[in-house]
Amino acid sequence: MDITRKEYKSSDLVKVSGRLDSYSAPRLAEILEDLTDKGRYKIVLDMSEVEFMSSAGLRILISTQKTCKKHRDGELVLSAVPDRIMKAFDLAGFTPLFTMYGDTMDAIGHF
Amino acid sequence: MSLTQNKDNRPQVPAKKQEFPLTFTQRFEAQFKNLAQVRAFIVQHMQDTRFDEDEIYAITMAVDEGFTNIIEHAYGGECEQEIECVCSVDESEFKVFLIDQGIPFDPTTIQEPDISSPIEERQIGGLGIHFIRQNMDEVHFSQILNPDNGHGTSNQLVMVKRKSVEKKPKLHS
Repeated sequence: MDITRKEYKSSDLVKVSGRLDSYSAPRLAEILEDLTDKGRYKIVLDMSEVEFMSSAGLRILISTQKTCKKHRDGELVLSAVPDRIMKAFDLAGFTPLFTMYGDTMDAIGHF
Repeated sequence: MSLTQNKDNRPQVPAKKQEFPLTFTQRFEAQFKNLAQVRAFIVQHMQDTRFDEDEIYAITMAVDEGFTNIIEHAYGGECEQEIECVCSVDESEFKVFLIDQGIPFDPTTIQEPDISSPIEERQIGGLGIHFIRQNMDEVHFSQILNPDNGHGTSNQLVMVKRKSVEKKPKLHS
């Protein structure tokens, strides 16, 4: 799993690639916690290159979303979610809990 | 075996009759770093079967969740003990046994998570078994006799997935 991050004026873009399972999920959690610990609660997660995601990955996303939403205008927004990963969101009933954009630049424009 | 790639980049098995049932077995140390190997092991052996990519993905996800549950609950965390993965597949059914020597943990007794509650009340537990139930047709847990094990039994999680009926039969060219 690879993670890159880029700071924008009003949000942070995090791109995660590869496989998000119980082994790799803690690294994503660390990056996202680092952002929220710094008071950055407007986050876009580019999921276009996620090949696999288990419940371990979903747990990180929901806990980050809970943290972000406690703050004014804070939100974890998702972009370019692949079909298979989308299916996992649907199965977990997570789809209504996230704003999703097909295009990452549109997601950045959300903030 | 020589493989050709189609436009979806999926290896195409040469026209050859596969002998069923196929069985394949491997032991893995109870470490999260082995999850990628466990999934690759399933994918590699399922390529020659009639299960399609979406079905194989659903199976690997269920096995990943089962393996993770065993590490977390039966072994109480990563350790040097093993999880044995025994698979059997025929034309219409895939069956996997995940066998461990830890504390008996029956994931089928875990309550279904409430997947419609608002975000503040959303629980993060129970999602693994929820995915297993959604992705597979049958899930069973049992203890089996194992005289080699100090406590005389092993735990066995059995998951079954049946091939979905093909909607569009292939036309002969």
